[in-house]
Amino acid sequence: MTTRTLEPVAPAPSTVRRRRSGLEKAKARAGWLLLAPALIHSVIFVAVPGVIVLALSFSEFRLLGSPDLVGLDNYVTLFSDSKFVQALINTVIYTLAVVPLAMALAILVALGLNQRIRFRAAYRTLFYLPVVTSTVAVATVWLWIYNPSSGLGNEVLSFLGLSRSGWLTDPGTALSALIAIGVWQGLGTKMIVYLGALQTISPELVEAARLDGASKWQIFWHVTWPGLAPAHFFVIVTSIAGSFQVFDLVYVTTQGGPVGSTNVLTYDIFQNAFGNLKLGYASAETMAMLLLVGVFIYLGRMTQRNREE
Amino acid sequence: MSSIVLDKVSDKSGVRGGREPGARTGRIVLYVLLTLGGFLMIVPFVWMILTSLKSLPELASFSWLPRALHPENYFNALAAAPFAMYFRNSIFVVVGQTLPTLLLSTCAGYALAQLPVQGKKHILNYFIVLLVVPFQILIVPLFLVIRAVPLAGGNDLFGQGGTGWVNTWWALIIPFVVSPLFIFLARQFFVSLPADLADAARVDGLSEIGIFFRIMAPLAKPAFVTIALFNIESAWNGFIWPLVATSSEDLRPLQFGLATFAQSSASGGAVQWPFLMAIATIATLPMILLFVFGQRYFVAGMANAGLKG
Amino acid sequence: MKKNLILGVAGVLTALSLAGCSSSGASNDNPAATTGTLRVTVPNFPANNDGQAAFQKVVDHFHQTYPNVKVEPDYVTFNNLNQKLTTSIASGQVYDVIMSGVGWIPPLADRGVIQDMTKLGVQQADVEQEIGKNSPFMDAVMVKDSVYGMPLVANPRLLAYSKSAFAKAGLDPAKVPQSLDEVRADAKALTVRDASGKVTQEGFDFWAASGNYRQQFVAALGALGEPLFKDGKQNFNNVAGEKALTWMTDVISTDKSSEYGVQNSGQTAMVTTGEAAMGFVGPYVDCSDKGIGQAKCNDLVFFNLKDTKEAMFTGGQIASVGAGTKLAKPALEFIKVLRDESTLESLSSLNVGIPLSTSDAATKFVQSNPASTFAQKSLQSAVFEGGTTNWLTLRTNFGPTLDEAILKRQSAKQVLEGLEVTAQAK
Repeated sequence: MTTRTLEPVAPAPSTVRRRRSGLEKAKARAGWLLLAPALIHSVIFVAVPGVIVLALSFSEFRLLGSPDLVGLDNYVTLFSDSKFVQALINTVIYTLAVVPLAMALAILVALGLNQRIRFRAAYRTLFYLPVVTSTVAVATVWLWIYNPSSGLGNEVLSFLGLSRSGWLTDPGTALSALIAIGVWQGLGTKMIVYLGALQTISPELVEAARLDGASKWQIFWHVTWPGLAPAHFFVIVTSIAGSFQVFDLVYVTTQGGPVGSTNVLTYDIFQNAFGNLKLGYASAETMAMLLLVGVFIYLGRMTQRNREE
Repeated sequence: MSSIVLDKVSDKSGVRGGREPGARTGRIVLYVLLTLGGFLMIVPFVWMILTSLKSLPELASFSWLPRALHPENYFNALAAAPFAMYFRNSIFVVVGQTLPTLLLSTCAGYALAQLPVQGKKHILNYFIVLLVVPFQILIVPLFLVIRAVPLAGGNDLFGQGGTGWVNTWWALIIPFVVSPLFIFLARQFFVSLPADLADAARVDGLSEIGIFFRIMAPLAKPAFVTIALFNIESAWNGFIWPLVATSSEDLRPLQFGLATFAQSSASGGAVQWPFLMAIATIATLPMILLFVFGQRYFVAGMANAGLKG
Repeated sequence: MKKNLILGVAGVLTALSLAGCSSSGASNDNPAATTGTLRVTVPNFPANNDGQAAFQKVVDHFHQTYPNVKVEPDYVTFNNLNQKLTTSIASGQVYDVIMSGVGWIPPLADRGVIQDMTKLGVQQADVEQEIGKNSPFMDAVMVKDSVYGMPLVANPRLLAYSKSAFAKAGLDPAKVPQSLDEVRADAKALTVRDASGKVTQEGFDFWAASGNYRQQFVAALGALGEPLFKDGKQNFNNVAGEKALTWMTDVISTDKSSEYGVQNSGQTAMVTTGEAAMGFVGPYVDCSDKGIGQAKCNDLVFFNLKDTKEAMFTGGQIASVGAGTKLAKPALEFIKVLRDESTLESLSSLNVGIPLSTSDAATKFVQSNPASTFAQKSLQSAVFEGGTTNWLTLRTNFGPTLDEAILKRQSAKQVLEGLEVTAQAK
């Protein structure tokens, strides 16, 4: 790697250009070098399987023997498949509910934990625990809370004078009940992102705003909120991706029921692949799902339009 | 130099420490809300620990406190299945995945953030697309890829004839040494570091690679902790892939031991909850400890993840 | 261009799936000289120390005949057997001995995953000798006059009611319900609610989570005298099927004597915990203090669903030889060893079942608790699910579809017609 020393005298433009492009080239070379292992790895272990999935989506794979090419048949069947449509709707509803809700709560909690209060570290740990608690434990406790006969949920409802609910056994309420668990579980990671982001908002700016007579709300809206925009980008992308990938929760609690009211895309794909043994069809469904996620993320990024790099 | 000063609390919501009577009620409300919220967050975790101390017949119906404490459950659970081996296997896989991922993902993230790689925006989009693909659908194709590794497990140059990496440590580790999510995370982090840092180092004659390792990486300690925490959590909890990619017991991880408790056994078909929860508690401890100690770096790490678009 | 790429990938897949054959070694006629590795899926041996010890005994016994054949067990769980087999099949990794359940045999045979054991020398008479003549399990392992598996253990579902609960509700504790209608009427009388309307004792516990009423439907259908499939064709879209499904709907949604999809947190049979007065149970109850206690054991009366016929839904474990294995003789020997008395007993305890054997030891084993004693006596009334080559795919949808009727979102007729269509698909 050649080293460069700066000339004390302003050099001729052509020399500068050459030197600068030399520097750029060296930087680009280094960039590729650093990027190469990750690129190669991701191609072999993620992109190639992804391409296989794409290829399978145009085939019918009966497990033994070779796949039969069926062109777009799988995709056509998808749209008349009521299960797929239901899973699609459920997933969209789930995402639209969980992402904003969890983000909003996370910001609020982060704001709260950013105050000069005691036991801050302890509180942070408490809010982060759901992320590392075993899914089985989470599912069991929530199944109990939602148990229609002996669960806490109905006790609370009767206490408040409301009628008892079937929670996870009632097709009308099952998805909402799952959404609550989803929000609860996703809170921890998002909160940490916002907490950290809040730390970086310059206190001088806040102080200056306050000295200018801005109210608490105005400070939040004009100083804090814009400062959080970059955090929003990361959280939105990963939250949307994460909520489309919700699987473990459904698998352990409702298995897509009752009557498909909690069937989400990943679970439907899983069922088609390993339950119905229709790998080709499941692959086509995956492609459709990826398209949908892409649209959502694109829309999500649009809300960040002005802040993007 | 963008340093993250932790625990530098700014009174964002304008609550001044106890100077106004309204502020004090505000503070009390905050404490109450945080405590309530925190309590809600840890309820399943508390249940997990309490259940691990109960005796099996107690568990047919849901209860909170054990009738009598049974700490021997922990010893019996550990003795019921070859957990020493499962733990060892999990640790092996976790370390094997985490160390390379820390290196490779941060390299790639830095390259995408600070170096003039051509088409880096497209490459970033490529990684974002990859992180969205749900793992369930990749199981079979990835298995095919693993099986076709040339010159491994009896395979010839074209990956035919043998079993490749199936049922080896490689299958459990290599597919996960780079993750698009962590590249994204690392990239967000490095984007927030000022470019003049690198320029100053270039003036001093440091190579690009040297800049990364000597200057940027040390600053990235927070990102390292974040990636480590996330990766450890997913490696620790992995179940489906180890199940499918391996067949011998001496490669199986911790979650596998847990799954056997969930199957019917001599307890007359009931899930062995106390043992399950005991092992689950033990399994959660490393991650909690890591979070508690890494919290200082951790908060800063996620903070920078959100810093700039 | 795209087509070439796809064909290329498909070609690769073909090559990959045909390339693999995992069992190695040669099968001589001299057992002592045979070498190789026998790969076995063992979902019925849990991977914990008890299970591994039990399995080791099997291996030791096997090594008495084939000392040089290594045995490689794959401790996959029943819940994940699907994923494991699918991935293995899709990539051509075949196992030498495959253990599966009732209903799996026709699909696995059809897909060429397991092979014809009659061609290997196992006759129907041989199986009959093991499990008894006229055993209902014969149908489960036969495909067109060929034996495709050896039954090991039966996993039946019985019913039970609590005598004290009967007495409290004003019913005669000695009177066992003799028809579906009687069960319904009794269940209605047995349901106890508190002041706020909360159910404190269910009249009838189906022991099912939402989407999982399939096996109970098979039991009810069997009680009305009809098997799920007859001569390879569906047999549930008929008067009997409608009656069975309507009965379930009535008990659950009309009378509300059974709460839909509700289970206790241990997911155990609620009639054993007192949470239900009557309901389905497994063929094993622990009468000791570590279990439900002797008092509860004495309080329970075991019976089967009955209407035109007595029917006991039964699952089971069957061992088959993998197709494409190079170690056919050792595989057969291994299966033979699995049918050892002590192995069957281990399997039964480990999997809450009863051994399928006519030996005295087996009889003695089941006498150890009232549930298994009753189950063994009722084996002739066993009814099964499955029976067609598309069962594996059909069963994924069967349970959730039944719920549409149970929850009164569709009529029983509509649901059964829809299921018939699915059953006819390939």
